[in-house]
Amino acid sequence: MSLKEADDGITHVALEGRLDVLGADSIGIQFTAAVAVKGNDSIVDLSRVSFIASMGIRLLIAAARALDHKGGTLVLFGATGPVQDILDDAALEQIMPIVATEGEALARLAH
Amino acid sequence: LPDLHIDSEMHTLELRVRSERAALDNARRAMVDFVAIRNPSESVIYRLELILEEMVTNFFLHALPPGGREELRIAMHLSAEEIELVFDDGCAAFNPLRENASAMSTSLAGASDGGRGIALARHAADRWHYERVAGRNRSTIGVELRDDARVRHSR
Repeated sequence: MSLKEADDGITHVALEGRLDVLGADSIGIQFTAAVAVKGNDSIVDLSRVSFIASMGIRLLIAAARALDHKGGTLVLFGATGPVQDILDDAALEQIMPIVATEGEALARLAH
Repeated sequence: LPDLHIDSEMHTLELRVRSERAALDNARRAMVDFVAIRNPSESVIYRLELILEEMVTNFFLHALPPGGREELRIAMHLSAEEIELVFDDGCAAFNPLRENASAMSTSLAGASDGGRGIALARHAADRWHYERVAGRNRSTIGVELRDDARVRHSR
C-alpha cells in the first residue's frame, strides 16, 4: 500500500497484491487510518490489485463509511478484469463511486 | 501439508483445514498446483480461489463455534470438463443456497460491511449442490474449465 498527500487536499492511496482475508487483514488498520483520520476526500487506485474477495470488499466499505462519517468521499478507480467483475458482482458501485481512471476519480470529487 | 492427500491417478486432492490463517494460503497453493495439469485460464483460477477463500472464511467466521475443534474437509476432483470442489463439515446445518444476497444492493449508510462472501462464491460457481448427510454439511461445487461462455464486462 502506498499513500500520497497531494497538494489538491485529496488523499491518494494505491493498493497492490491480494485483497483476500490475509491481505485485507495485513493492511486494514493502516488503510482505514490513511483515508479516515484526516477526513479528506480520498481516491484509491486498485490497478495493481490482483485478487479481491469479500474481506477486501469489507475493508473498502468500512473505510468508505468511516470517511463518510467525517464528511469525506472515497472513490475507487483502476480495477480491471476479474477484480472489476467481483466489484460488479458485489454491486459495490451502489455503495461507493467506482470509475476507470484517476482523472475520472478526481473529477467525481470535484462535483 | 500434513493434511493433504493427492491421488494423481484418480485426479483427486483432499485437504483438511483446521486453522484459517495457516491453512488458507497453503490450501490455495495446493489447489492451484493441482489444477495446473488442466491448464485452466486465469479466470477459472480466480473463480476457484474465490470459492475456496469464501468457503474457508465462512467456515471459520460463522460455522465453527468458539473453541470448536471441527475441521473443514475439502476434496477436489478433476475431469476433462470441470473442476469439482466438495466442502464437508460437521457444524450446524447451513444451506448456502438459501443465503439472502440482499445485503449486496444498498447505500453506504445502509450497507453491511460483510455478508457478501457466499453470494460471490455462488456467482463464481457453474453448479452448486448442497445436502445434509449424516449430520454433516456438504456442498458440491463445479467450475467448468472452459469459461468462454461466461462473457464478463471489464473496464
